Amino acid sequence: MKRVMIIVVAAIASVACCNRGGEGVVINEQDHENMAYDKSYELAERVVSATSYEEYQAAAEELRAYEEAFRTQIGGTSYLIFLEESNAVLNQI
Amino acid sequence: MKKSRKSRFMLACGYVAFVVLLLLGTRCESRVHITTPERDAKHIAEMAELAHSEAELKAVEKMRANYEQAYRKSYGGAKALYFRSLVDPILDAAGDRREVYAAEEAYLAAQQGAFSDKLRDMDKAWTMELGSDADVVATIERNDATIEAKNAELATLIAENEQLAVDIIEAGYPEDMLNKIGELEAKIESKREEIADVEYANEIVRLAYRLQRGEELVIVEPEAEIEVVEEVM
Repeated sequence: MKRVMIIVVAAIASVACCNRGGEGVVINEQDHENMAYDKSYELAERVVSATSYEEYQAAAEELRAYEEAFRTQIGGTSYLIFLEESNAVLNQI
Repeated sequence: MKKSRKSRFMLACGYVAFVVLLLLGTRCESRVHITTPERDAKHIAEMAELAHSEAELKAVEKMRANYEQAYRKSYGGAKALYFRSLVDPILDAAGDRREVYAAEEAYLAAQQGAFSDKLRDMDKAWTMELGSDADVVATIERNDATIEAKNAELATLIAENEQLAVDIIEAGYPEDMLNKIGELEAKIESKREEIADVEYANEIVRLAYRLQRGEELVIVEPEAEIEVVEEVM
């Protein structure tokens, strides 16, 4: 019984760790609007100015992770700001 | 034996209690606590004011329906109608904001679409095998020729469609001709999509060139022969 309990707890802990790793980005709830402006510009700028595929991939992955974080954690105006600012920079290329 | 009976009895009691609690829980959940029509209408007005999306507005409308039903059950139709007369103007005013919510949601969806489309295009462009400059130019020119040919086909189909529309009016809308115009319209739509696909392919090639080579692709058109007409004095 004890063994079974240990296995179950270990499985739950590992699943929880995996899920947390996927989420990754945490948005500051006090300053999300400014963060939306700053991060969208910074990350989209990195995407468009990448000089190799590897550089581009890393930047695009981070931009997508922030987009998901703003959508799932904050939403509303800040999420829209993030999208608008990102699109404005991405459309320069 | 005695112990077994007791434990069975306890188990049965447990099941009964569980079912009773389950039923009570469902009942409590769906129950609306009505007070007075004025107070309830005020509560709904507050909820309607807080609604900022289509889904929230629908939830308020459902709440209105539940209250109205509760008034109908408890006090009869007159009180339910009175409650409705208080609430309807509030919900009508909130309903006017529906178009705004729909427009906001459509704008957000467009921004999301633009964001993912742009990154998808960039993914494609970065992973595209470009080849030499001559290969790139050849691809673009081949695509341009395809677009030109398909545009000519489209123009023919459109002219055919316009002529058929005139013929249909003159013939008094016969069914076979109406079916034919339907087929033609589908062909026009599919031709437009084919053209858009080739144009998109060209866009991706140009984007790939910009990203991988770090400069804009410029195709120099061959100079057209200039005919010199000598002026005769």
